[in-house]
This record gives sequence, C-alpha cells and structure tokens, in this order.
Amino acid sequence: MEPKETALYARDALLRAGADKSQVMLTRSIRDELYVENGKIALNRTTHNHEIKYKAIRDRKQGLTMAGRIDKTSIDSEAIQVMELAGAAVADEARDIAEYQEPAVFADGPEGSDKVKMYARLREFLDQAGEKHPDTIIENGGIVFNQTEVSLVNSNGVDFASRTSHYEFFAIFTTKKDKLSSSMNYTGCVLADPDVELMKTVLTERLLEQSAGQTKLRALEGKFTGDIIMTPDCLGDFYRFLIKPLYDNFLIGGTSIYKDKLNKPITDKRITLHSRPVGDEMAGRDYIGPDGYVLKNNTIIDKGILTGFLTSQYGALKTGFPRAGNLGTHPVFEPGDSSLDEMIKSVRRGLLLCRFSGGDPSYGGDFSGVAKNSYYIENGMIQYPVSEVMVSGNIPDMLNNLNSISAERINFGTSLMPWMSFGGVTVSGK
Amino acid sequence: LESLDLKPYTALFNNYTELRIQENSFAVITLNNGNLVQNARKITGGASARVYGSGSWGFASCQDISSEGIGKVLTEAGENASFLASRCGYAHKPFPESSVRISRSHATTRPVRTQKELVGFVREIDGYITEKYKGLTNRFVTLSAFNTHKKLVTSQGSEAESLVPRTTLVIQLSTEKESQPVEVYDFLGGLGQFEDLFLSPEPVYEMIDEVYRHLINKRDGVFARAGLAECVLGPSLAGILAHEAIGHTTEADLVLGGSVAGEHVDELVASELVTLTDFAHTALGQTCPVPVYADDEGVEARDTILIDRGILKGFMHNRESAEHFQVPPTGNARASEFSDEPLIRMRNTAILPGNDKLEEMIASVEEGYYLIKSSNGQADSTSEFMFGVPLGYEIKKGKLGRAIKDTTISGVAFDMLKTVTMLSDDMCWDGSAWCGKKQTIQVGMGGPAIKCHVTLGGR
Repeated sequence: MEPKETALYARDALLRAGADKSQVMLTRSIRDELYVENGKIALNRTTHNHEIKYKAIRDRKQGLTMAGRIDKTSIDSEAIQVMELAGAAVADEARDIAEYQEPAVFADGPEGSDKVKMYARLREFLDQAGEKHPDTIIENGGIVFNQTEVSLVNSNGVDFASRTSHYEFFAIFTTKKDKLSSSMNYTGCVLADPDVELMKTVLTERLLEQSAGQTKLRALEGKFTGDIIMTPDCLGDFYRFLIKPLYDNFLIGGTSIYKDKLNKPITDKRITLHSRPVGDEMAGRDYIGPDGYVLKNNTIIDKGILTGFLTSQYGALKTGFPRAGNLGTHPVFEPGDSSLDEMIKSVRRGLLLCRFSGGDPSYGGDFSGVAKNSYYIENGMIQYPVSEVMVSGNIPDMLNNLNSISAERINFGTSLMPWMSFGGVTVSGK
Repeated sequence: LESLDLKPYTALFNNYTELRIQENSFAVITLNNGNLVQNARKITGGASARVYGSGSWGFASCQDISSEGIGKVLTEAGENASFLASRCGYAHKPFPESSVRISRSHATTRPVRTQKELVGFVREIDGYITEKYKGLTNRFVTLSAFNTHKKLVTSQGSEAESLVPRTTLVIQLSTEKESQPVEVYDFLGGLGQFEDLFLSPEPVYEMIDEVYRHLINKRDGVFARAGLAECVLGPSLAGILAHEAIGHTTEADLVLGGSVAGEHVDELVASELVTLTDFAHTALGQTCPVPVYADDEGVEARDTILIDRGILKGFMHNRESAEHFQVPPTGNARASEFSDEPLIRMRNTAILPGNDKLEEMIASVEEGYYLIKSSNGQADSTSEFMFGVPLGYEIKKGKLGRAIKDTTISGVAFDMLKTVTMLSDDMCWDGSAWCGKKQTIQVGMGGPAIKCHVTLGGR
C-alpha cells in the first residue's frame, strides 16, 4: 500500500476497534550515511524505516502506540492493542485529536541521495583536515542523507502529507601531540546540498584550529564572578536548558519558573528569540507536528517579553495556555550590534565559553558545569586555553545580565545562533 | 521473531557477514499530579546485515523480516561495502575465527499483568503519596518497561539469541521555597519484567518516604562551595564515575581517537585500592543489570579488567580494534536498535568494593560533602569527566550537615582516582542507566562509596 492508503487503513482500523476519534501518523524514512571513525571513512550505512503512530480516544481515554509493521493484519492487531491501552486509561477532558484543517502536501529537498558527491566532499574534508592539522584526529564524523515521508490523517478530516530531505555533516575531533590530548570538540550542520566545502561550513575550520592548540592547557586558581561569552556552538547546546521550563511537563505540574510570566519580561530587552521550523533560512525544515497541526514560525521571546509557551495540544487544553505553533525547534536569536572582538575587549575577567559540559540545571535554573575547549579572558584579551574550570550561575539571572549580542550569526541549518556575552557568572578553578 | 531461523541465510553470505533480527519494545505509564500524561507503547524491529569487504564496512537494515526483506539487506550491505572498498582501498586481513552458540532469556515465567493492572499499580503508588504527603507542588510516578530481543548469525558460525528486559519505577516529588521549585527523585527496578520485580508496593513506599525526607532537607539546601573538596561519593555515584571517568577513555575506538588512556597502559593511574572491571553478565556471583552473553559481532562476551589495583590493564574491544591491538576481542560490540551498527560499548562497568564502612568514611571527613545521587554525565578524551549531582549533604567535622542544591562535579580521572583513600565494603548497581555514544543504549554501572577529592560547581 502507498503511505496515505496505509495511514487511512490504520485510521479506520482504530474506528472499527471502537475508537470515538482516531489519528494516525505514518513516517517512512531512508537514511544514507558515510561514517568516519578515526580519520577513515569506515562505514557505508543505509537504513529503511517506517513507523505508524496510532492515537485513539474513547470516552476521553487515550491509547497511544508506535509500531513498525504496516501490513493489514499487523495494523488490525495493533488497533486492538491501542484500544486496550485506552481502556486502561483514566478519562481526561484534555485528550483530543487535531481539529480539521485544509488538506495540504509539502515537499522540500532532493529525491534520493547523491552518494558519490557525499563521498567526494567527505574525502576532501578529511584530506584538508589531515594536511592542516596532522595531530588532530577526526574521531567520528560523516555525512548523512535523510529523506522522510509523512502521512497524517485523522477522523476529523485532517489529511497532510510531506516529503522532506536534507544532508547532515558532523565531526567530533581530538588533538594528540607529545602524549598530550586535547578535550574532544564537535560541530555540525544541516545542508540542502552536500556539494559544498565542508571545512568552510559553520565554524568547522576555526574549531579545528583551536583544537590543534588545546593540548597544553592551564588551570585557574581560585574563583571570581565574571563574564562568559558563549559561542554559537555552545549556545546551541545550552538552548535546550533555556527553553525547558516552557514545555508541558513544567506547566502542567506547575514547576515552571515562568508559569506566571506570559506576556511579561523574563530576559534583557535586547533578547528576541524565534522558533522557525519552516523558515526560509533553514536547510532542514519540518512541516507537520506530532499533534496533527501544520507547524508555524513563531516568536518565543520578543524584546525580553515571554510571548508564548511551548505547549502541545494536550498541554494547552490542560493549562489553558494557547497551543504553540511549534515545538521550539529551529531557534533563531535576533542579532546584536557587536563584533566578537569588541565583546572580548569589554571583558575584564571571564571566559570565551566554547563548550559547556554540565549537569541538568535545577528547576529553578541553577546550573554548573565544566568549561571545555574554552579560553580565559583578562583585560579584554584572550590569555590561554583552560583546564578544570567550572562555571556556575542561574539561567533566568544570566538572561537578565546580558552584556552584548554579536551582529554575526552562524546558520547551522536548523538554528541561527550569535555569540552572546553574559555577566555575573561564577568561574572557579582548583 | 521467535520462530524465525536465520541459519539458512548464511548460505547467502559472501564476505565476513553479521545478520541480526531484533525487536525492542518500550512501554510507559506516567501519572503527573494524578493525570495520566503517558500511556503509550512503542515497538521497533527488523533485520540488519553488516558486511566487511576489502577493509570497508557496509550496513543495511529494513523492517521487513521476510525472506525478501532479509535478502534485500544482505545485498544492500554488500553493495555498500563494495562502494567504499572501491574508493578507499584499505589494507585488511580476515578477522581471526571466533564464534559462540548461546541462547539466554530473562523473560518472566509469571502470568503477565494487563495494562489495566499496571495503571492500577501506578495509581496505587500515587495514592500513597497523596494520602501521606500534603503540600507537594508536583509529583510524577513513572513506570517504564523495556525488552530487547535479538537473534544473530555470523559468517564465522555464531548463533546467538537473547531477551533482556528492564523495568523501572521512578518517583519524583517537588515542593517550593520562596517560589523556587525544588525536586528530588529516585527509582527502583533494573533487570527483569514487572511481574518479577514489583511483587508488592511496600518497597516503593519505603523509597517514597526516603525521597520525601530528602526533599524537605533540600528545600532548605544551600549552594555548594565552588572548588576542590574532599567528598564521599555515595555508592550510586561510583557507577557513573566508573562509566564516565574511566570507562569511556578505555573504549578502544576512543583510544585510537586520541584518548589519553592510550599512553598509560601498565602504569599506575589510580589508588591501589581501585579495581575497575567491565563485567559481561555476572559480577560477584550476581547477574548484572545488562547481561551480555554474546556481542553483536558474535563474540563470546567476557569480563574486561580495566584497572587492577590502580594499574591500567587494557581496553574494551570489538573485532577490528582487537585486531589492531593484537589482543582477543572482548565482546563489547553492541548495537542499540536493529537499524544500528555495533559499536564498542560498555556493559556493566563497576569499581569493586573495599573494606570500609560508609559511616566511618563520613566520620573521617573534617569538612566536605556526601554526594548521593547523580543525573547526566559526560566523558572526555583527556579523562576529564563531569556529572550532575541533584542530591547531597555537607559534611562538617565528620557529621552530615545541610543538604545542598543541585551541583555538578568534575575532575581529571587519572588524577582524581589517585586521591581515593577509602572504599566501602558494599556494592550498589544502577540498573536504570543509559549511555549516549552515537546510539542510546542500556548499560549497568556499579560500585561502593568512595572517599576522594573532586571539584564542585557552586558559589
């Protein structure tokens, strides 16, 4: 059966099994990967996957399953299992499926991978890295082609289909020289076309250069309160901590530090943050959300004001907050007006924080972690790469203690990140 | 999957080949403040083949486990290997012969509970909390069940099958102080299915009482003092220390990738009190949380001693790294899903117990911290590690003091392990742990309480 035919069959199987409402999302994907291990292109992997996500509601009780088999017998059997889950559930008025929307079909990206180009560009990258930085080992990395077809239908008449594809490049690397090892570092991006010089993507070239000079590190003595400049890669990792309190779990449970802050200031007014899953600037776009709604670009923080939570359909019905147009993916920070040099010059004492390796922040936003691949800054000058240095602070306080945002931003294909400088962070050495 | 015989497909093998079929199932029930926010199940399964030809690996997978589907993945994996081999031309020679025939299942033999009964159990636990503890701002009760069922045949003659279940029940309680949320969580469970692990709710009630006691203490918690401190790491932290601080640096692929451990074989890297092993399936007479009898390359899994009384002894290997280092493979090649290739992964990594009592260890600290629970962690090629600590207490003059707020600890493992001066005589396994190296996979971690110096984040 074709994907839509299969999805419709599964939707109706749930209704035949006794569901009041049913929703089905069928995903079919192909992934082609050339994988690097310790400088060698070691593996050529192709995976074919399909998965049906079944959602059934009877008497406001919900059953939810995901299964890979797509023949009619397996679908009929799964529909009975879903209804068993629904029968065991607790009735909840907030359980529902997506409302009717106009049918739509979305298509984005090439059909099928170009493995010859993938190989050629990956080989070029490894050769360039080996030539410029012979002591740096590309531990893992590669280039991956992902193609995904989605068919989403429900008993309210929702009927969406999408076919999206893109390439991903990633590299994890360590430098080893004179029996000394650097910290590992990594970067990566999503690309619409693999036929580009991978070394020139995002900050790859700069990070490899930094790694080559990070085998001899210096520890800091004591501790101080100072500034940290987060790089775009670091900010990309830290982003999930920033938005965590905006999701269902924290809002339904009432533990979100921002639960009373909708349409109120939560950060410095120079911060504006969008989530743009269908943004033109994104190489890897998503069109259909798991709740059965078409994804939309929206603004999460507008000049410091919290303009929306990241609530699902269930979270919205449970809390009374509006349903978000997306899941907070594809973050875009509005740029500032500073250059990186100016940002560094304005730091009396602090760190250029290139990677943060830390524990999950507390519910209140307290965080602490190790500054990896990072540099000590004093009197406006980068001094040396550091070892065994920890940074600690509080995320809401930090977002209100902004020094500056860079004008330059890095496009990772699913995010657009600047450098951001914050004050009031505890930096501690040995 | 139960009735499928893979052996006839070995007639289709041309090069070194692994053929695996696998089904992973996951079920979760979560009550959040009494709302059933999760009541879901997921099953993934299919066939995969990996072929080694002319020094290059080809891999393919699909969900169709019919003869047509299996034939397709074998063909595609072979073509993928050829694509690379024709371009890369790596030097290679055949892997030494190594095969195993084994079949092990840890499935329950008791009658399987219905979904309704499981939801009822979770609601009973939630009812205990609401009845006994008023004034909580939030509570989660989460029951999770995982089953991993694999069958494997290889061109070297291995035939292996295993079914490994894991079930955990997590309790998370929250309160507030001055509008700031505070939370504590803990879990019960590990290897086994619900029917074997949760025969009655009483042990869960005891855990809830303990979680609540810590929550009230943590509500008045203070920031740890940032910097180096003498600490007693509770037994449940020893496992993550073994995994993050040493384990990752001694995976042979990371050694080849620049890990500092490569320079220290047969050297003293830790206190002579420290012995650290990656157990295959059985440790100190007990089955480990993630028993591995044969790995996904069809190699019989055996224990790997990483540190013996302070001396770094060796690494964890797959077939290819073992060939590089000219040692026998250790059975550490593991794949998470049917669509994943085997990677060098830890299984059950533990520091072995010593001779001290936890109470004596705490009493011996003039000023420091007793750290009880860990959250996420990360390793590095330098052996610098970190992990989150959501629960701990000050130690002042040998006695426990105030609870501390969430913190992170770090250190350079090969320096920090030399500061170990005491190890408790008990052993605690964490049967809920996961490792995220490329693929997220279940691991076991264990150890005793450890007295040492580590760096804390704080104020």
